[in-house]
Amino acid sequence: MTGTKSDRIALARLADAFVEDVLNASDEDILAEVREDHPDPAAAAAQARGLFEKAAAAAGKGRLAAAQAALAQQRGPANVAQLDPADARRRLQRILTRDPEMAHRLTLAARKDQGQGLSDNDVQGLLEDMAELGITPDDDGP
Amino acid sequence: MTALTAAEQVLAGLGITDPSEIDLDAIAWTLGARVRYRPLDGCEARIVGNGARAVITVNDRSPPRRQRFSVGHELGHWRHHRGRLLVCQAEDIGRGGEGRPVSERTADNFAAQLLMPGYLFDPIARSHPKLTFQAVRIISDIFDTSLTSTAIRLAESRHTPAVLVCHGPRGRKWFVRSPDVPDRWFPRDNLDPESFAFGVLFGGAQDDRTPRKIGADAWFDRWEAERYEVLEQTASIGLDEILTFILVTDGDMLDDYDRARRTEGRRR
Repeated sequence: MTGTKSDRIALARLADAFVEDVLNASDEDILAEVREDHPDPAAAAAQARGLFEKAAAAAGKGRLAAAQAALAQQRGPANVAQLDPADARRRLQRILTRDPEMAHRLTLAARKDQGQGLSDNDVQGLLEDMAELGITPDDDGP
Repeated sequence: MTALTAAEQVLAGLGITDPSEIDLDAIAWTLGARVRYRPLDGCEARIVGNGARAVITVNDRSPPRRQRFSVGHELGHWRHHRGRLLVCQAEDIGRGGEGRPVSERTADNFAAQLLMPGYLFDPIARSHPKLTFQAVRIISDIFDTSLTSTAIRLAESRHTPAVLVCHGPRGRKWFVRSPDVPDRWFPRDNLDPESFAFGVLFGGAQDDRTPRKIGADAWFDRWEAERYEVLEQTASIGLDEILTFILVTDGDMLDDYDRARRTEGRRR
């Protein structure tokens, strides 16, 4: 849309006034007004609903396309240095010491996995996921 | 009009009107979650959350359609059980049956509705009036879903009164029942040697091409079962694992007199 800021403010005020007018009208008044242009108010309502749904779907598709575009830019390996396995475990342990809920969940998962525990690969991956979310040990050392 | 489920609301909000538009990575992105695919040794999938953001990691050594269901399952956890960390084993995801934690079943339901939303799934399912594995395969190709998850989705709908059972060499692993099939029809733990499924699992027989008639007592250990016949069709879903549809075609089997009796009891 083009126009000055004051034009846009004026238009917004006009739109607000229309909405206020509709909200203050009785159902009978609205039906009477619709009948002036449309012999079948139910059909007019269905048409309006259809237009609204079409606009909502178009807006939704736009959000999905925006997400796809953002993902296309983001894809690629996470930029996290490969740690020595022992260092990685110590780092994870420090995070878990601060986060008992997370530690509990991992213990439960390890039990379900016949107690085999996390592999070096899983520890590294978990640290990468956490780093992406800003979950790091307080001192952020190795 | 039926109310949309939580998963369907997500899809409808993104204007998704065709199964091919169900781009799970992008959908996850709109929900604040990023999906990663990498080899996982100790689990099938996991989700780590922090505030409004999460990272879902799925085992990329699993079949692609299995991976898709896992993404949907973790998004189900994200929607319903937001927490810092959830780790899901293979047996937690996409298996039927009631003997699993409620949280895993909730996440599975979300995944099933996200990958196969009713407003797209039901009309397509209805265009295949016969519940067969051929129909399941066609529908699973449309929705890019596994044979198992599609078969469960169909069995749990009101498409056809049926019981879907999964067996391995050591017996029944799980089963699901259509809402129209009364609870008293509980499948046997072990395969009856008379069943066609037995031949597929143990005898190297080919999958059944069409449902075949068999006495209901081959499948249900219940006094009245010998009075009825059902249709049975089996498909292999991997090494030493089969799925069987038991189609309930006799209306008398669908009489839920147990429920009627319970309702009657409550009225008194």
